[in-house]
Amino acid sequence: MSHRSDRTLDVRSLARVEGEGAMHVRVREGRVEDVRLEIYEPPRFFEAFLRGRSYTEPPDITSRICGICPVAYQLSACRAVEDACGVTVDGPLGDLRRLLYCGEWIESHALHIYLLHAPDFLGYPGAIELAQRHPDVVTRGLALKKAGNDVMELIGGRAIHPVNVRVGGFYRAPTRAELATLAGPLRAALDHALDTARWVAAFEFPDFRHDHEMLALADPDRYAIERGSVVTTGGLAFEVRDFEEYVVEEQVPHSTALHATLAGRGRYLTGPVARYTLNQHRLSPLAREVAAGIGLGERCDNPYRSILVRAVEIVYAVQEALRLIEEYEPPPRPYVEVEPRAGTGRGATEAPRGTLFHRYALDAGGLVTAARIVPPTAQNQASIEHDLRRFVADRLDLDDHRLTHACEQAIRNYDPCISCATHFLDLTVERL
Amino acid sequence: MGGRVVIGVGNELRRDDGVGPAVLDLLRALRPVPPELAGVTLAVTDGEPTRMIDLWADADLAVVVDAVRAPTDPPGRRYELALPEAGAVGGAPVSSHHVGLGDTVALAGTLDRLPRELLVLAVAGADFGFGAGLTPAVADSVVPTARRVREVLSGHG
Repeated sequence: MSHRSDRTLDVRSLARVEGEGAMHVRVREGRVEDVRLEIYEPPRFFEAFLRGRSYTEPPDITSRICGICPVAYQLSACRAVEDACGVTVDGPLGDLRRLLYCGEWIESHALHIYLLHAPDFLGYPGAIELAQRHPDVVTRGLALKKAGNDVMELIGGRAIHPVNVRVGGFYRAPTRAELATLAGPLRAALDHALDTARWVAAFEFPDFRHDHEMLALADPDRYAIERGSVVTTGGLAFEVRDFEEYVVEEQVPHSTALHATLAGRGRYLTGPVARYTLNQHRLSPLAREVAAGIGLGERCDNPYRSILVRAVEIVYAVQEALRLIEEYEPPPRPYVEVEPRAGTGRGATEAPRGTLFHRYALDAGGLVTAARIVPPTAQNQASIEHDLRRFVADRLDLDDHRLTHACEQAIRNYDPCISCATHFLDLTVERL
Repeated sequence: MGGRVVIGVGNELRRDDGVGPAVLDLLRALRPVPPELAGVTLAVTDGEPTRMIDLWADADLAVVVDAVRAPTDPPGRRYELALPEAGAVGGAPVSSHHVGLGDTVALAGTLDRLPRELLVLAVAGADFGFGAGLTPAVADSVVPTARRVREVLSGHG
């Protein structure tokens, strides 16, 4: 029922969010009393699963955490292990990693825009209804996504849980001729990406602004993807090795996940809008032109407009992939030797959903003695809950069904990778 | 159109959700390659809909092996669903995946990207928590499910 000051809603599924999880909202006497995003966090399982494993195994094992962003897990793991072993992978191998990562960004962002997020703005229950009404649009989205998929398959060996990535580089490096086969589909994808940006620019966006500090990696040479140091909109700047001094996690009663906050500062947000806000000046000229053309300024703090940022990042990733393919020179060896040593290493990359941090401690024989994974969704949990509290408070006049749908839409703004962070996603709204 | 594809859906590190990949592992390991598997694409995926559609869109026959939640049935029970029944499979309550197979079939149908023939071989799972390894009853289903895949392929030529 609508317009009651005390009420309870119980909705058993939260659609079109990656994976599964739970959301609980309690309203008492017309006031939002509690908002909890319940998270059952796979990374905790994987942290335990990794102990005692060889230093070569984290990239493969952690890629199983998420089917949507396996490259993010693989490359954060590689960087952390390599850091522990005192090895830096750059040059052509670093570029090849960036190219692989571009494929994942294209695939993940296209999936989210077309199948998960756009139906909200167009008033459709989901992608099927969108496809029924606009088959050409969804077909374009699938073609765009496939271009990213093709990059991942060629370089990673396969798109799901890529098998060609290893500590130190790759098991096999592609030839120039092999990479050249990607250029044609990527050029077509660039047109699709530009059309996508124009398409989402026409959506109507609710006026909702967050005030979170935003955090992302920054790379002095280019838009941060597979490397960088950490910066925030509040002026913090620190190296990945210091991540755990600045980012602290605490257990909250309603979740097996840890709530991440910035030490002494509180909640923060990572992900596309943070990345864009902190790095938009490092986008390519075309991507910057597209961003300006679709109304993105130097800062984005409306989570609904994250779909615009994802569209711009697809343009950038496709163009960047084409550049990397054009400039590619096969490395003399597909990997650098990484000899184990006792120590601790840290690595972070920009997953499509935000900064993904890994830490591994190794013994002298190269066995993992401790592992820590901080995924973007867990970092954003406090900010999502904070935004939802405000969001619900402004919409208490909606009936139960519409309020639930509005909450689902609000959550999708953050593209939470619940696969990384939760188990079952049910939404419960109590109005007491 | 052309070709045949067998798709194992699931995650080996989510206990019984790994039954699809386990069946595919078994099929891939067969030596010598049985004649009915010659030229057949064997794929493993996490059930993300567009990957499923890309895998089967041009196929004459797609056989999907997946785990299902069926709390009222014994673990390891096997089911077969062809179109249109496969399209009626629900979302999360039935499939172990966040986007239901039924939704994937519906989306593919809307976009005219279904295989000419689709058969779903499903196995009731008991444990979808984190961890490697199938529960015993589900593990016992792997060989008969793989055998059934081969029978279907043999009959399809």
